[in-house]
Amino acid sequence: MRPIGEQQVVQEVETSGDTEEPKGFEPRVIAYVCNWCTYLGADLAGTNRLEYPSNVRIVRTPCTGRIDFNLVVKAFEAGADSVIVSGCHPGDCHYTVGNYHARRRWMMFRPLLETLGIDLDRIHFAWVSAAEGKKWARLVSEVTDQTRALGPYKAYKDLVRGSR
Amino acid sequence: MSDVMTRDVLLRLVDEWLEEGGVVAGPVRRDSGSVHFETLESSTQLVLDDFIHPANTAKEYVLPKTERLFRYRRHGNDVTLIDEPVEPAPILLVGCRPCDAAAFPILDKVMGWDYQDSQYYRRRAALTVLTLACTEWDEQCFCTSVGLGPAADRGSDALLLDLGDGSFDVRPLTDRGRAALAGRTEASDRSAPLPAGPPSQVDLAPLQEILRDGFDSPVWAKEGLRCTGCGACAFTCPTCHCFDIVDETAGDGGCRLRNWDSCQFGMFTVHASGHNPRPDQPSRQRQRLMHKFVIYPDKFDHVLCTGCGNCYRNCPVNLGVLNVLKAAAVRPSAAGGPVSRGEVT
Amino acid sequence: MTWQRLRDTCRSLLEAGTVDVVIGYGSTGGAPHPAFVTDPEATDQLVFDDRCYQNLTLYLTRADVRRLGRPAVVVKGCDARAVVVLEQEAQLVREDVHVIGVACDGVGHPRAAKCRACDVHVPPGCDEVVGEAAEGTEVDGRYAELDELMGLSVEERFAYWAGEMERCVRCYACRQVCPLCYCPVCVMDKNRPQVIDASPHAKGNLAFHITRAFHLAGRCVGCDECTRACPAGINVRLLNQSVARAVEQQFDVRPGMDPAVGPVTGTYSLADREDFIR
Repeated sequence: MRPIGEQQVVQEVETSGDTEEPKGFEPRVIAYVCNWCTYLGADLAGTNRLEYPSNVRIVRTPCTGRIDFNLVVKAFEAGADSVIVSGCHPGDCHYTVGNYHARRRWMMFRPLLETLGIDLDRIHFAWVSAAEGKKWARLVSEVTDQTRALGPYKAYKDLVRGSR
Repeated sequence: MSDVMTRDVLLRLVDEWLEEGGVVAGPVRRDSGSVHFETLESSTQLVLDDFIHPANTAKEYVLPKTERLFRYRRHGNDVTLIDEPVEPAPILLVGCRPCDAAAFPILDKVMGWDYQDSQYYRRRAALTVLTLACTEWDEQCFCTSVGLGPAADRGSDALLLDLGDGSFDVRPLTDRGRAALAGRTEASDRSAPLPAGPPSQVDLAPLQEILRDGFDSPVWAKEGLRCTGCGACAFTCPTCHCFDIVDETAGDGGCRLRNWDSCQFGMFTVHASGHNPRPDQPSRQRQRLMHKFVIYPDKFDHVLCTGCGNCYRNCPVNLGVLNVLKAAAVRPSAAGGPVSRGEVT
Repeated sequence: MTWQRLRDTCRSLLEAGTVDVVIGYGSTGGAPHPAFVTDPEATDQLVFDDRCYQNLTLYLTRADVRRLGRPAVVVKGCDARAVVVLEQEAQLVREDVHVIGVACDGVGHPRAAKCRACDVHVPPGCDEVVGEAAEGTEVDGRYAELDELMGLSVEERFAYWAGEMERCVRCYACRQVCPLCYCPVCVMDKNRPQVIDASPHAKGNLAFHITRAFHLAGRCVGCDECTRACPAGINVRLLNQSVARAVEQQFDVRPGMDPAVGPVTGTYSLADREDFIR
């Protein structure tokens, strides 16, 4: 597997907004997933022909332990309305402890986002294993529906637009 | 005989300027008590007394902290540049301090030297500067040591001197100043005395000679080591103008921006090879003092400093150029060996 | 506290060769500032009063200061915590630094916010302590300002920070005065790729402050120098405090208070909470 560099991740996130949006508000969801569990789980959803919204753009990382919070910020900067971060269940990490580190970091990151007034309802953490194609499809559907109800992330987009 | 304008009339000038779609900037007091020079939304925000100098400067209105130079789009191997030159609305600076206003003609020299910096000059051409003379000063003010003073009029379109009773003795200096104040003043026999200003703190001419020969002086290590390497001094200095150019890309397009930069940042002189000719704070402080008091005046006949004192007031470790100048003044330059040891910090 | 005791201590250390440089607060008549004293005769410039704001442990990781040799460093209680964290992060060897604590009743006119809720008037973990101070009892107000902010709605909070981020000029004073921001090349200065915009517009500034606050998670000792140093008057401490409070609430840890208690980042527990994870 080709290693994922930050350069590729940033590229993928930034170009995901380039496609034409259909009429009406369609949420843009960026999902940072680990290669070994959630990515395979998403693949399983595909092979099983499970339907789930195409609003999501999946960014593959080797492990949730690799997920730098700059990537989450970058997703919002690029216009995401919601972000999903998903990886292996605790105990199942391909690198043994990567997701434990990720979980520890998330415990501290969420209060910081709360203080900043960044909408925590737009950031979703999940454990999805390689066998949980159904869970993946359901997760994306739920997140997309929730985000549609919340509307576009106007506050962040306005901040970015004002910085152009 | 002089022209007097009441504070109310001044505030009305501000409001009318805003109504006509112009930009007005002046001193504003925050809840914390500190005063900053900011864009106004209404004249009620304006503060014209009880402060020495705002924590920042008016240079932001000719040289913003970040500004876009152009946009671009890539199509395969071709690139289209989308040039959108800045067209600023008329900018009124009210309550600018003389040390801030005097920076404009100093900056003009480098900004119009071998290349006309069009963004800078467009903003410069849109400025009307109503300078508020100082009635008080602190130990950090040294405008009188660099050829200026509390009522210096360089760079100003009009000078306002506080009469102490809610009105100002107004001295228009340029056509632009006269135009802004037309019909808003009344002739009066009251006039404000010109304040003398702070006593001179350093004797600049001999000091410049000491600095010129002082590349190896121990003063840089003695005073400069505590510098933290931030940009607080450079960014709050009316005359500092160094900038960094960055590209911000998004997919196939992007823009090029100019941002403030500071010679105290560790990366300021890092070469592509990794070598850094100024690898530590002492060598960077030396550069700052040399640039301001030797190199710039050699080239442009004026020191790159107006003695406002902001560098000291904003410095987390109480440095500031005046302290280093004073230390250099008592310490004759000694050939004590090079300050920097050529290592990358 | 008489300065003489402090000066004598430092003079003895230098004369005996125990240390090569004393990093302390010096004054030649004006406000005190960081000073690097290598000559025993020059120890008479050392002072300590309520204008000694700087956290001098910042210099312990600076290459150009390290070149001066084995240091003694003068610390207040808030500063002393940084020595503990730096050692835990292998940035210094405790035995190679002589830590001189000064008892402190607070700095600033008016008293700095951090001093009103201080419980380290007498710095812990020092090789020696000079002076006496009233034993501080922790006042309940440590997070009062943060609570006020959290009383706003999500939208109001974001609007507040969006406004503050407009004012940031990216002078990096907050980063440069922080003893725990010691990376030789900061992630902000990384440009392949430039993940965090270098430009001081609101977007870039927000990314910077999020990153810095997060990089200090479990490491910030609350010296508040970042906030004091900010020329734009931004309340940087609120971000650091929000993470510090989360660390305290979830792990019962205050960084640097106890050398025996390890860092919370870079570690994990099988019992870490999952209630926010689907």
